[in-house]
Amino acid sequence: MNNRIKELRARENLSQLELAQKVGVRRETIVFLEKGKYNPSLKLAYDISQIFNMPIEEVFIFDNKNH
Amino acid sequence: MKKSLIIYVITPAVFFLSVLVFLLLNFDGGFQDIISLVSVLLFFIFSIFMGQDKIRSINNKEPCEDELSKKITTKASSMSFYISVIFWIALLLISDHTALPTHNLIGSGVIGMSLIFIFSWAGIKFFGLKNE
Repeated sequence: MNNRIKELRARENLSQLELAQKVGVRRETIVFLEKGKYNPSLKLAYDISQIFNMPIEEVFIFDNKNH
Repeated sequence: MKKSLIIYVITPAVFFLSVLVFLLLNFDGGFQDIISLVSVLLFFIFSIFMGQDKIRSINNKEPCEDELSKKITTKASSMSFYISVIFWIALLLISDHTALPTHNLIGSGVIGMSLIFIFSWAGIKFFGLKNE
């Protein structure tokens, strides 16, 4: 699964820490997500999408090849 | 802040430092002493790192634990349990062919298990938890 968190965060002028605080996780989790080292829970994915006012599928792109 | 500093950094640091000093005072240069020293030093570094991590989280006003950290701990625990079972079997097989005293065998097993957990945790932190 790929995601556009880094790109959207830059567009919204949000730091990793600010985004982490908004969704109630540690900054490390945002780092892992941006590096593609972790796939979030549905709740976290939903919360992040809500911050960017976008549907989940536009923030997180499911890549079937990696499964 | 002060309370968390005491819980996460000072207590484990004092504990491991005392063990380290005790081991150094009774150090006779044997292989077993070196293994014990290195292990305690690793635990000391690990506890300091964990404590620093928690304090950084508190300072940043973010939770000390979240879904990722819980998953890393769970995965490291399950992985280290599996490896530890194999480690104990190997240790028992080795002990059949050597004159290893029981307390040394148990000590090696416990230190081995702790080290396996630390390495599993570090490995998962480094490689991440993809598609899980």
